[in-house]
Amino acid sequence: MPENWPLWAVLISYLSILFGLAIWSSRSTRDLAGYYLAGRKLPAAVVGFSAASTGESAWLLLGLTGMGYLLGVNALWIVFGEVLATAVAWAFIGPRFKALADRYRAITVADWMEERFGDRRQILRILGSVVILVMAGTYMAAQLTGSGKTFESFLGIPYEAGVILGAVVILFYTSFGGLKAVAWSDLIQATLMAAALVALPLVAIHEIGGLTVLAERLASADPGLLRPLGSSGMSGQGIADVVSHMGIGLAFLGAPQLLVRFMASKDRRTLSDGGFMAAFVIVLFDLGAVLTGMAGRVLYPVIDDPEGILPLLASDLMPPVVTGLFLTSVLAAIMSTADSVLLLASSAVVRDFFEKLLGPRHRDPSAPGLSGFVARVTGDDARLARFGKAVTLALGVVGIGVALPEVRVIFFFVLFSWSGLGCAFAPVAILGIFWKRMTLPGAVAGMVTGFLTSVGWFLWGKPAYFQLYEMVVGFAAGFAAAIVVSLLTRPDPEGAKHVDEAARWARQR
Amino acid sequence: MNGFPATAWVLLVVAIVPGMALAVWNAARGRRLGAPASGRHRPSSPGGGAQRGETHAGEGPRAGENTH
Repeated sequence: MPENWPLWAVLISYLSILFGLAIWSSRSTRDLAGYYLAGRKLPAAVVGFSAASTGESAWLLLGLTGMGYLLGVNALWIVFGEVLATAVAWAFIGPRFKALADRYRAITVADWMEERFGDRRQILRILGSVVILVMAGTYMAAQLTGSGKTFESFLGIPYEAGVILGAVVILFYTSFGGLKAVAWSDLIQATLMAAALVALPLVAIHEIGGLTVLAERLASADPGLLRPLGSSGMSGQGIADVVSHMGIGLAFLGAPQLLVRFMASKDRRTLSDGGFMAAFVIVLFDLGAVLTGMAGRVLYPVIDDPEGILPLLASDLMPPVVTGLFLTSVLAAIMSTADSVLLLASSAVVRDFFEKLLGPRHRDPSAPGLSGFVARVTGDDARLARFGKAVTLALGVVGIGVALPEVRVIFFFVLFSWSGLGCAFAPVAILGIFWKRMTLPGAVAGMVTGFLTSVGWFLWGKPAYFQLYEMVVGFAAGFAAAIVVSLLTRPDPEGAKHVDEAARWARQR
Repeated sequence: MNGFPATAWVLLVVAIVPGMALAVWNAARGRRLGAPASGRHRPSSPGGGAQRGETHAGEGPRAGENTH
């Protein structure tokens, strides 16, 4: 029996539950809405926990704990941004977005945008699909990299085997169970993550001797660790750091993997209850991660990689079985994000590209080659859902191929992809919900400008301007471009009616 | 206060309270709005009636405008 058998026992139990969920959910995936939206029947606890754990990722347990270690209380600005953005999204954006999504019978965010803006040439669908494929692909590969590193550090198995093992599990339940399996597994995963992030700082602070000792030892290590503006104080760098930290939460306002949760919610009331749960879970997540990092700074003042503080604390302070739970919590964080972005990429290929772009141009099932194949698949909803499962598998295999050669967890990739998705979709979705004057050219300009500014700032602007986070700049640019171009183009009266209807529905229900 | 400066505690309150207050308000509003209206069926979407299934090309409310 291997020495670390308790870890294996916990891990195998967790993976068995995921396999069970996949089999249970597979019965509900016989059509496209069942596969990609869980039949629009998800209850509040599931959508709330799912949105929270999808929005966070391995970055929460490894990256944010590392920021708590390096920055101290300054990292609490991240908590402020994420909790407030989550609450705003579920209170104001979700109800209106879902109202129109139900009316349009949308399955993807691109469906929603096409109808809202009357995009007959499907420009937004094409642009959105490309952004999703590139960003979600990067995001998923970074998570699989995290999987390899986690297995390696906890169980000592080779990095490559860890990548493949993590990916096989994700691929199985995502391919077979669709969003239903993904969202229900998120509920379990979020619970594991929250339990880990509540227990570990409590144990670590107790080990230190209480909050007073923690504060004294942090102050003696670096007084800046206890200052809200950090070591930089009231300076350009200090303010840029605060704005960047708050800006991490912006994508909670409208990243497509979160908008899909609104679409999959059962009804209006689900959004209210789910929003409370999402905000509450994010408080537990973020506060626990920052406190874990701060306690780790006291217990381990000198370590090579601050992002390794959680595994270090867990293995030193906890008994083996509980360490196994921490291993599964890190894997849970990875899987809960990777499965969602994988499904998002799959829906972009199957629904947006295959069914909506190619489908109308290929309608003869007896035609030879690709044309006939497209017609046969898109002509039957059950067949399309099966095709979706195959595409999910294929995209996962590509993700493995990207992640295998990489030997480091690259969290800036995660924040970069998070930013790209947020900047491309959120400004367009928010203005499309609330602003009657928004037009199709404005939406296109907002999406392109938001995305390109985010990428461009990351590559060229960031080093010159206090490392200001690309999401903040991309968001502002996306909003500005959408507003200016909309005002310069002809109004869309039909779209304005949709805004009114969504507002009425959100008030009435 | 437990060795942490007052500004750190203020930041902690600022980080949690506004978002959670809004989430609580929204949950309470959802309960008011979501209560059954004395036996009358309330449609779950502005189009009237719960809509299930998925969109096919040209099926949406702007179907007349779509060319695909």
